[in-house]
Amino acid sequence: MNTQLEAPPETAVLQLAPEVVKLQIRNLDFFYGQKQSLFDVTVSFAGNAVTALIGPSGCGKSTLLRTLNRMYSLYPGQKATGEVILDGDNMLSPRVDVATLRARVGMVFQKPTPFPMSIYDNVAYGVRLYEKLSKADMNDRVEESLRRAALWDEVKDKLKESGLGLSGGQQQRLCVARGIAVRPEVLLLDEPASALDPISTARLEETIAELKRDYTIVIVTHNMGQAARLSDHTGFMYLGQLVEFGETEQLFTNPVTSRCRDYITGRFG
Amino acid sequence: MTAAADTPPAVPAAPRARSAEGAGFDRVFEVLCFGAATFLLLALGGIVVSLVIGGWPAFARFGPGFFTSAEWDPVQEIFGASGAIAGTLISSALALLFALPLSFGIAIFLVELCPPVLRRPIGTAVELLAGIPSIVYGMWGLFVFAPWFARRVQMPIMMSAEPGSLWETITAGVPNGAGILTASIILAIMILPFIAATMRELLLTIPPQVRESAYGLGSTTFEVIRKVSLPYIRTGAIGAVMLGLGRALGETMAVTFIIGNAHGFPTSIFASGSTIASTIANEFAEAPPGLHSASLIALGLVLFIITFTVLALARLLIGRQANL
Repeated sequence: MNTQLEAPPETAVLQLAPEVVKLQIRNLDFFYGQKQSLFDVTVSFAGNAVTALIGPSGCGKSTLLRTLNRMYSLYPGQKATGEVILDGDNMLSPRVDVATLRARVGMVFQKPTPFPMSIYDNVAYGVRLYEKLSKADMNDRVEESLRRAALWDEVKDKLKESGLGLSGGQQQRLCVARGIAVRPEVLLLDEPASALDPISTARLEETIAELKRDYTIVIVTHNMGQAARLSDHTGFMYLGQLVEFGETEQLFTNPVTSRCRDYITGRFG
Repeated sequence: MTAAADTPPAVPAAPRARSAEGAGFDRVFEVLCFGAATFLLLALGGIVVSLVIGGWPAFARFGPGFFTSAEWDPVQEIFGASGAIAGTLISSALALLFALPLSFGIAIFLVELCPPVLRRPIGTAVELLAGIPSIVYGMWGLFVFAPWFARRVQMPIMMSAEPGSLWETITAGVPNGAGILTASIILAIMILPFIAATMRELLLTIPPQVRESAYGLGSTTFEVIRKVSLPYIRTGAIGAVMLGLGRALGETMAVTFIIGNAHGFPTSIFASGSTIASTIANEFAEAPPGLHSASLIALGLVLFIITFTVLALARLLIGRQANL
């Protein structure tokens, strides 16, 4: 599948075969005002696979995720240069409508962020922005999304109740359901389990493994066990640079760069 | 305490004495706090009781007619409060109607859309508006705003009204600019900063990630505000609006300047009218002891009840919201 391994001493980034690539980042620099926080990141994400981004706090992995759906553009002063290519189109181009981009690239955040409305409306919210569905179709879509997020059995009798009344783990799965209800192509997960207890985390991981069949998933995580369990590819970032990227098994068992080895063996981070 | 748990202290009497002293002061502290709360209740009860006693002659003399009659004639000693009550409710409701969209707009602009350079100046301007004494509003309203309003707004509207139409009835009046609508506009400007400032604080409490989630689904700014931000702060927003309404109901000086101070039931938005507060302010100094004074005190009690009802309603709405 993979072809060649460029292995200079400092960085080692695996190039994926072009036919498996769904999402590609080329020469990405990112700035918070004057401060540059991503340096020339180039990496590809395979379709229908999970890619994990790991690295110490402040290494730029969340920032990288936020460029993929241009979330940074909400804040004046934040700027990205380079290319984010989804199916051949540069998503950072001003010609690409940001709302359309975000319909294709969904995101789930670190903390659960249910909207102040019923469970049903939380899931239907995004769908209503893009599609005019009949009531029956909408019901099907909501049920399907909640089932895929492994939440349906717990909420099917209280769809009209507020989403704020659910437990933290349920709220996070509600946010996943809300994200996949609009049928995006890519799902970005920013430390989705960091606020959850172990049981909720396990359920969420099952959900993610399940979703891989239909989506391209990029997950930022602090939990290296989670990255190893869930992902097909892993990228290790440090100080705004992508230091190593490769197949998860290879990266965790036999990292090429010394920085990455030190990190995953717990010598720093 | 920890020492007692681990090893028996060498001199057990000393800490025990100290803690007894502390408990003694705690007792005093409790009594003081209780006293403060009781004092508040007593003051409130005292005000209600004295209003009822003071206003009793009016209630006894006119009965329910005090609330329904619009005739207010100090010479013949006939007093009916419905004109002032209607003036109060109408001017406050209109003020809220004008202030609400404006203050929402200001708050949303400041939080969601404003370029950072402008955020401070506009925020400060809103706060300054709240700092202007109401008598200044009254003077400005009477000497500057009312004449301009009469010439530029009231006259053209009255001229364009079709004779005999409902619109003509609603807009009838002396074109001097002093009237219910002018008072409402001044009131709106006065309560606007309160509602806008509270609304702004409320919008700032929304976690950025919730807004980002909504944007992340591809919502436009308007959709985020309408579907997520405003519902998120609904409870607090109701409180803020009610606070503004409470202020509008009781506002005295500015309204007294500008409302025209005519008794009777207001029939047109340009007509001179009166509110409860303006009637009391105008007449209390000259009212002889007796029925006139009693009627003014009774008016005060009515205003108290109206304001109390508004606040109670707000609590009720907020309570229902919290259960949702």
